[in-house]
Amino acid sequence: MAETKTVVDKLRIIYEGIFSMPELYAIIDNWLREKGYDKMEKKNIEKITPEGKNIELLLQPWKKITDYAKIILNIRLIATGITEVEVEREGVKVKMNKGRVQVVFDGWLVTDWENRWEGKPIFFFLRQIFDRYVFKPYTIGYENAVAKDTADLHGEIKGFLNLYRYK
Amino acid sequence: MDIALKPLPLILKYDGIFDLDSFYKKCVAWFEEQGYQFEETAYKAKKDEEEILWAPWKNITDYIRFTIAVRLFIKDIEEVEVIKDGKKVKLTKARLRIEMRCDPVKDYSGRFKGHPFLGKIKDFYERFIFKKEFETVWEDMLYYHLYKLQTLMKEYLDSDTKTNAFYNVW
Repeated sequence: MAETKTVVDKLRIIYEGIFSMPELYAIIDNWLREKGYDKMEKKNIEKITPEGKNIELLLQPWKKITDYAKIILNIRLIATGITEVEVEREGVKVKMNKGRVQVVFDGWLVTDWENRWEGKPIFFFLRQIFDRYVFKPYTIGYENAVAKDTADLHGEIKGFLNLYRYK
Repeated sequence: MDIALKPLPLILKYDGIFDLDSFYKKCVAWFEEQGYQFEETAYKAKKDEEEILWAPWKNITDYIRFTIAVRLFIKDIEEVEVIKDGKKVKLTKARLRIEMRCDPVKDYSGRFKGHPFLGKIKDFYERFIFKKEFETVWEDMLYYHLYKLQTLMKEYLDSDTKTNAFYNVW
């Protein structure tokens, strides 16, 4: 079985106010495409209630770094009470959304994702030795890549939401 | 027949008002446009619930077949009348759950069946010769094809998450 290490655990953004839900999703999607991730939208739930729309997304985009290591970003987006509002920006009326959004990020490093070093106990032992002593600089590099990508996406979304915070 | 399963399914849930008939026709039209042989393998209807199974397929090469499996659960179905663009329109208020998965099928015609030696040749071919092409081209192509279908469904339901930056990947 592949080994999964949690490099980033529950990095959160909580925002309440005016923003654009379609734009927020587009930012995440475009970022994933630019950074070379493969899309994986495991769950997409939309529920219309009298108080507004509730949206729940579970994204697990992944990127193969080598044939041994893979990055998976676990992104959970929960938006509640999303309603449509009209705001004036530079004299033009624009349709936006108002509500509460919470985004939680986890960054995982998966090694031996092709399960080549499983099956026999000697392979498993060799893999442990190599991972801990021989490939350690590479593994640290991969972990840094996970942390960097997660922080990058986190910063991108935070920056986007902060744009609206003071408007 | 060999099936390589993708670690899906994609789940799309929607709770609100939409035009169910139009949604159905749009999805079927998409499959036909893309060259799929559309098959509805099951249709179950109860009082205010429906379950529909689609299994469209398309032969890509003489070795690879694309198959998509879509399961629609529609619950708490209620016919409602709304005013759209100044006209009264009959729509459906329901809870919709869609599960989709894609399976690129290798050797769909079973030409390597029938003899253990042929099975070993097939195994060697798929593990050492065809593997990279299968993963990087065919599996990937079908994978993003499924996302195009999902985007179509989201656009129809007027979802806030209907953008798809991977639309032109294949």
